[in-house]
Amino acid sequence: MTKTILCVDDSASIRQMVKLTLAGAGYQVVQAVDGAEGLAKARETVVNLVVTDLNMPVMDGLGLIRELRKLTSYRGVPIIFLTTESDAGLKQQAKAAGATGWITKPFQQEQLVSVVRKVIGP
Amino acid sequence: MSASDPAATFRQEAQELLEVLEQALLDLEHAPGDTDLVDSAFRALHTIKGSGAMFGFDAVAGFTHHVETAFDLVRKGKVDASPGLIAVALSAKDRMRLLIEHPETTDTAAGDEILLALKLIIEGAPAPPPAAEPPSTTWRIHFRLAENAMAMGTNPLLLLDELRSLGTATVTALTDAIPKLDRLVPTDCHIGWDVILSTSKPRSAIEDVFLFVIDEAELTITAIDTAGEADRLGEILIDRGTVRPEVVASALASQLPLGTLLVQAGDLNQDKLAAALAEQEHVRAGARAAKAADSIRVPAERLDELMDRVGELMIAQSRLTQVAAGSSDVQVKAVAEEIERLAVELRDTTMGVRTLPIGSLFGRFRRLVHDLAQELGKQIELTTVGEETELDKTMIERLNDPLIHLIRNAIDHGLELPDARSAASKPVAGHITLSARHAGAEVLVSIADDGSGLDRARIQARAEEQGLLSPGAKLSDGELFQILFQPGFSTAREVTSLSGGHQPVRPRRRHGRGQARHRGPARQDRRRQRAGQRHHGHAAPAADAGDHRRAAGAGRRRPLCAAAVRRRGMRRTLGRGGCAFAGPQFPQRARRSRAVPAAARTVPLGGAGRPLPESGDRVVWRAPGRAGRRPGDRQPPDRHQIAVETTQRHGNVLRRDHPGRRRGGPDPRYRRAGRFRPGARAPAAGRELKERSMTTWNGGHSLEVLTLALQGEIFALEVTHVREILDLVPITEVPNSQRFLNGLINVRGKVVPLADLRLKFGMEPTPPTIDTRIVVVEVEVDGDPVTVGLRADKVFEITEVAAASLEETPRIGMRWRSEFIRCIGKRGSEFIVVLDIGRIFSRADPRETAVSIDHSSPQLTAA
Repeated sequence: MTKTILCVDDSASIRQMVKLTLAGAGYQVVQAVDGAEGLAKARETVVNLVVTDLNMPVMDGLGLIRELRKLTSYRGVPIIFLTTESDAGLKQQAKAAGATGWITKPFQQEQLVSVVRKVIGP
Repeated sequence: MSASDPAATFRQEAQELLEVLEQALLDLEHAPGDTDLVDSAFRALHTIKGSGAMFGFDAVAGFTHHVETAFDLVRKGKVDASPGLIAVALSAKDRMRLLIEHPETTDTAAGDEILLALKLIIEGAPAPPPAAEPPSTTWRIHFRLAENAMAMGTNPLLLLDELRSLGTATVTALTDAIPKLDRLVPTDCHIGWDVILSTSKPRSAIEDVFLFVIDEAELTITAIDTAGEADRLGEILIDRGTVRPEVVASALASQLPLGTLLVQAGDLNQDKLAAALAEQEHVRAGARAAKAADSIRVPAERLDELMDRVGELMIAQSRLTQVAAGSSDVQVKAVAEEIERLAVELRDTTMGVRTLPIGSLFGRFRRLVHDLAQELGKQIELTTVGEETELDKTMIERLNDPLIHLIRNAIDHGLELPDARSAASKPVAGHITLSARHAGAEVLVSIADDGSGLDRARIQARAEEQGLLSPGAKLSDGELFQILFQPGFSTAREVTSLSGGHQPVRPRRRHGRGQARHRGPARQDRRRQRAGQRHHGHAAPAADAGDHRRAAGAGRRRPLCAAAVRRRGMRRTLGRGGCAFAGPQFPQRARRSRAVPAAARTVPLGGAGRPLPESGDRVVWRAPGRAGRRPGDRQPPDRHQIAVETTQRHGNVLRRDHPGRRRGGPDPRYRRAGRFRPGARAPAAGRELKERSMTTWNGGHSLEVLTLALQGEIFALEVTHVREILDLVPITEVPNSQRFLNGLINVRGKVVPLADLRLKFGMEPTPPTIDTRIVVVEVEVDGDPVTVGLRADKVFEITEVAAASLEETPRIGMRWRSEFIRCIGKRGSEFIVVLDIGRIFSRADPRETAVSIDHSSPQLTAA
């Protein structure tokens, strides 16, 4: 069964890149432009993985992660966040909020695919 | 090969890989879908490329890359292993060989042509070259995730999968922390894991697996030393910190298995034990795999040296055995027996090291057949039989050229063109069978084709034309076909580039103690090459004295004595003062003088047992005991005392093959590899005798001889007969019926008749000079062992008449009594007549005199 990935990012270029990359790797990609939309989409369909940016308007990534973890259906669903450089403090916060892993921007397409595979398998 | 020259190592390795490649390609031709063959070809190419680049063979690497790419596509199923591709790959293989052997080759046109052809066939994109694997390390990985890890989206199964993807992993789950059901939170992670992972990847790759969980998880990664034996369980447990050393020590005091004990004692739970046991098994499995692939290259000279040492050891050991036999010290006897056992095992192991299956040789010919068939427009199938037959490596190499020659001949002259074959209602495809099998003590290699066969009339006509036969001579098939091996002889209407006569086969087969024979006048053209397998083919030296019974014990008497003489620097000119042979160096010889006739029986085999048309094997039943020398002993034989003796009916060569080895002496099978020991001829029993006079002499081996002079002629005696050499001693004259026996002498208290060979050979008697010597020989005359003194004008030296220079006694045009001559050896420009002493003294000899040597014999000078 094709795995569905929710990509939440306010940058259209990042969303596009993530969609193309992951679609090319055989995943189905759902997009959202901020945390609020992301949460709505996540409620709509329970996805296999959430990939979210941290820095977003309306609801930021940390908020989204916390909200998702409150949902029973999202217990155990991996959440990956995108972060710039190694902002250790932010990373810790995100992990404490319930994130599974992270990808440091800027990233190569292959890096994204390998992290996704690592977390949800092919 | 030398460690200091990696390029040479590469060359050698590449040669082997190219052979593997060729083999795979030729097999692929018949089984295009076989993925194993494709893999094998690919691997060979890959390694050649990789090592080539490493050792500076850039041209090789560059060229091979393209071929490898092609086979990668075949491997992936994108391109078929079509005959076209195989043909191109074969020529590519030749190109690689050229580039490897002559790295200076700059002409790239031929290579480009091949690559173009290759490209046309595959029309595919090049694949990225896989990287070489660095050495593997074994890690012990212990991890326990945070309890909420699964809730946070971490899937431990994926982590384990990722670990497995790094190498060989043994995973053990640690379930001891799982709480009782009422307190179990299903989304929490209660299980820990121990993973023993052998991987070539670095430690960081393992850490990367745990990248997202490393902060919260309990994780230890330790490298395990797998170089030595797998650790014992206790050591592993202590090493892992699972159990304290003193707990292990106290547990070990009891007899129960350690793991069970520790679990019972409550110091260890079942999971941790299982994890530790899994680690042990993992490491052991790795060690086993490493052991299976473990082989080293050793220069052939080292092996020769080893063989020499073992030979000397066997001699020293037999001396020890003899000393022990005469000793009353039980401990000495016990040690001697132990050393004997070890020495025998060492010898067998050593000899085993040098043998290779002959299939490695046969494999080379498939390409030859393939190419020649295409060149000549013939269809040929090659069948090989008995590829697993083992032969000494040196022997296999020596067989190469003669076999190539014979196969070429069979293809060129033997097999007909498809049209001719259809006309003769034969299958269109000609058939060549190359087979090897053990025949008694030898390995019989034969090449047979189903071509038109030998044309008897043509051969005879041609031989008469060339003056090799007198017109109208009637010869048996065997004798007539022997002519094919004469230098320059060919019946082919024109000698093609492929094949001339069979003469090239001859020197080789001589060297390899071989016989070449043609069989079958028509229908089948069979050519045979016989290779005495050295370690099975110790020629029994006493055999030419004419008695099977003596031959039965012969191996004990003379394992390596002549070789030992040379190695110990005892080779010398035996002039003034003489030199006694009897001595501690030759315990076998000393024993021989005490030998009573052996109680061995020779039973011709063939009717009831197995048919032995080729080898003329005999089974010898020997009474038990030490070499079966007690005639009255009637115990049934056991396996140590049954010997298969091979008496070559044509070659008159007696060889021995012991299925079980007797104790108490050097094994007669033992021969030093790399050199050929004297071959002794078969017993002078009636049938063989008759055939011997028909057949030419076949002393086609090197012979250790003592040279002496009689009236300016050099003669030689086999050293195996020589007991000692004396200065002239007082002679007691006695009337004797045989004129050449001119008296008796006293040799160490024993009365020995003295013979003057001058008289026997019809030369003038001369008064003794300062050089006159008496050679005391021990021979068998008409079945009785006899010690005789021979008067010689001079005695020179012990020398070896090399295999290649031994000539058969010429039959045509000779007027001398060939019965007295063992063979004629050539040393430098001199001819040496090796005498057959047993025959000289035989009373059965009807004629009393005379050998006259025809010096003008053209055959002799032509040799």
